[in-house]
Amino acid sequence: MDVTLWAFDKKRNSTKQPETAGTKMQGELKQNFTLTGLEVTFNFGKQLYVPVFNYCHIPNLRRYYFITDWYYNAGLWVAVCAVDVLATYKTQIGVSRQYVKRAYSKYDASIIDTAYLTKARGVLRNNATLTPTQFWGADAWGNNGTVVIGVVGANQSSAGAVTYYAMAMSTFGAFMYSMLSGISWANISASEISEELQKALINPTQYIVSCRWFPIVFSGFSQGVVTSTVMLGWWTFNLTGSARILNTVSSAWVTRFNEVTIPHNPQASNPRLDYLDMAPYTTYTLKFLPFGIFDIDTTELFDKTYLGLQVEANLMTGDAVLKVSSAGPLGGYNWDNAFLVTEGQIGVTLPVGQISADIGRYKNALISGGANALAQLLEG
Amino acid sequence: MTYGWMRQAARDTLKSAGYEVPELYETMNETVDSGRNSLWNIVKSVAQKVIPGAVSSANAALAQLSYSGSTGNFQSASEDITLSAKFQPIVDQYPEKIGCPYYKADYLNTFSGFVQCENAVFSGSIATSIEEEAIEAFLNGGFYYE
Repeated sequence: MDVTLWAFDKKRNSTKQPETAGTKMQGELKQNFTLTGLEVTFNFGKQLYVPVFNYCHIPNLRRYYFITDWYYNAGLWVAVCAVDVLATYKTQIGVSRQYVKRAYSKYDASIIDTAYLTKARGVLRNNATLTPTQFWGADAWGNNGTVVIGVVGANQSSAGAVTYYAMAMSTFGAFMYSMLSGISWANISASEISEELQKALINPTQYIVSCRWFPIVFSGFSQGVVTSTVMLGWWTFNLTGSARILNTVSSAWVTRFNEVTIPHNPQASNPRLDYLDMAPYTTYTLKFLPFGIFDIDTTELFDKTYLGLQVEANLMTGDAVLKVSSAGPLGGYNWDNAFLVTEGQIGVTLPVGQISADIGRYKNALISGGANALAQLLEG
Repeated sequence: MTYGWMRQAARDTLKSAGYEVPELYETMNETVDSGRNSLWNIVKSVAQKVIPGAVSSANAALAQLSYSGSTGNFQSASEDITLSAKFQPIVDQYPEKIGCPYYKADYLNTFSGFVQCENAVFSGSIATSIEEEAIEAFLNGGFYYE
């Protein structure tokens, strides 16, 4: 019986077949055998040497065999053989379609591989940062934000009785100083009402019903109508600078957007380890005050390049909505499906000290004060 | 204010013209003058003390300082916006030996190297059932297609 022998290095769980011709020899099967386990007797001559072969193919049986052992008996070498099913049926195995759990040559790196454990040592951290100026255009440290005041006054196009004016901080400061440092803007002759009594009767700050600071540079405003006056109660007040009238709800909306590059797990640079950008191997925390501090779902940032932040703020109320989304290297944010939407107050309320002008109370105090003085006079 | 000098001048004029000026008239005039002076003093006192006192009291009542809102939060507008990431390392990998997740149905001759199947079923035309079971055990336990 023809037997081809090899000294062949292969794993026992491999479909690998010998690529060389091998050594063809004649062997005799022992009488009792099975296809999966058999013994073949070889006559290598009278020399007693150790056979170097560990693999064989028996064409008559149409199978490859591992030679698991050799023993010497009555001048002949006997090979103990076990069938190599993977090499024997390599072709049939190859054309079979199976559900493959794991593989070396093909893989899905987005599937978390639980085969590898995490280590407590070697934790790495990375940050991506936007300064307030980068996002808003201004910040509190720079004293360069915008002040939006709601003023009760005559304005035909305002929504309700209140007209909102956006102006630079410097303009607002000059406006307040001019308004409170004198009363001449009221255009009331001192011969009619003394200046002191005018100051007592006319309280200009009562017409300012809201006053908020926004971390947005005024020069960046494009909405609203430019004006140089403020309609304050019954009066028209000239500004030293310009302001913008936000007389419609739509004009009071402002949208800011910026993005940061998402830090990725250094180990995920290995294309097989993309999943390391997901929890529990990676955690993301977004700090965006005043909206809050948020744990970000890592699946939202997986395979993404940029984290986009969009704030839609209402300058009348100071309310704002933060939307967070992610995008690939070419952008393409889907704000309708932002994975984080939250509200916050970005308008910083500025206290406007005002003297309460309660005329009824003033009248009563006037009468009682006069009566007391008269009583003291009569008693004295 | 007193009008005594005017009154005296009038009396002197009347007397020099030959008229008699009765004492009663003198007394009445003095009474009128006295009343006028008292009234003037009251008016003056009212002007000097009562009105300022009333205005002072009224102004004191006006001095009520209030605010249109609470103090805002400038701190928030001064904080950096930060996306912080923390990365937990994993042990060394050996994909050549244990492969990587694939979880997909596929033909095995499209692979090379380590392959592990789930619930593999194999049937060969000349394979015995023992051989088929052995092959399925290899496929499920992991084998090398090479």
